[in-house]
Amino acid sequence: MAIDERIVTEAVAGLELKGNEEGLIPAFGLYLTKHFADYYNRISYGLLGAFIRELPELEEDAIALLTEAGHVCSFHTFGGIMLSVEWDAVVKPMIESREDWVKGMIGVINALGWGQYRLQELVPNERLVLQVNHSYEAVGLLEGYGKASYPRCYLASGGAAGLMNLLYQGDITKRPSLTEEYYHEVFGQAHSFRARETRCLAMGDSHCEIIVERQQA
Amino acid sequence: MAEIDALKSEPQAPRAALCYGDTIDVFHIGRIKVVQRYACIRRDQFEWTTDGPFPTTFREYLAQRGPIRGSAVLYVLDIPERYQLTVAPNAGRAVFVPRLSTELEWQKKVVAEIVSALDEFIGIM
Repeated sequence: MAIDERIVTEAVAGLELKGNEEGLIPAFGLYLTKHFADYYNRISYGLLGAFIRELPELEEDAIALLTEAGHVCSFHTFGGIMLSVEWDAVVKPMIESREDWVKGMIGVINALGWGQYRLQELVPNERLVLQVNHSYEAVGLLEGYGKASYPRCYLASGGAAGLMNLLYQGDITKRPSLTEEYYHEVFGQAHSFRARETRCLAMGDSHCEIIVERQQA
Repeated sequence: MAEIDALKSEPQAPRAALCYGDTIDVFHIGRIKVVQRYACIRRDQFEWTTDGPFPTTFREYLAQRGPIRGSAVLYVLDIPERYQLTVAPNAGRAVFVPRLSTELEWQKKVVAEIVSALDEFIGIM
């Protein structure tokens, strides 16, 4: 049986991911929390705006920091999910190939309220193209700051790169420990995957598009 | 001042040097392998695995300990103030996440109880 993203999304949506009396959601081997998407947007775009106003020469560095947040997030969140008991129960029985891990992860993402992710293209070990509808980053940017001149979905881009790095630069299927050393091994190589956003809802496009490829040395 | 001086050196208590997810111990209860991992200074996480699926009697046993939600392939026992146990019975895998309000010693004792019961059910299969 190949991955049916809809089944994965429905199964994860049915997990009743809600906070316990500690305010935490123990799921996927992680301690998750719920907060407003606009809260993250306010912090990230507030940081970027402060750089643009006060230190415009460092705008690219601010973008690199926000993208790196996406790399770290995907390493622990996507990595944690793919090692979790929930993954073993719901997704793994449908997996037939390494590429199915990507499809399964997209099914999980679509249950988390980050937007609607669609797999446009996946060339094993080479290239991933994702279409993201209603990206919460782009929607939040439009609402809070108006139309953008550049693509602005940094967390989604970093996350997409992380997915490819976990599967093709590292090997999440072998159940590695998600240590700091492994992070550097997976993300810190000259040919590790990096993402670029080629369309963005915040720029007036109908949706966001993220392309992930290996860095050129 | 003694306390401040102590902060100049590296942490001496073993737990203080651990990071989230670090393995503290790996042990067996009967046929079942249990991995104890560090979650934070006040709680550990326990994961146990078996070679085959868990018997359905295990779910019935857990239902006596508290309310269960979920499906036949993935269910959760959640007891407020105590712990959450997430079970993938067909994968032969479960994860025990205690609440902060419990003691480390108590956490391990409850795990031993539950895993021992599972081992008995597997023996009966």
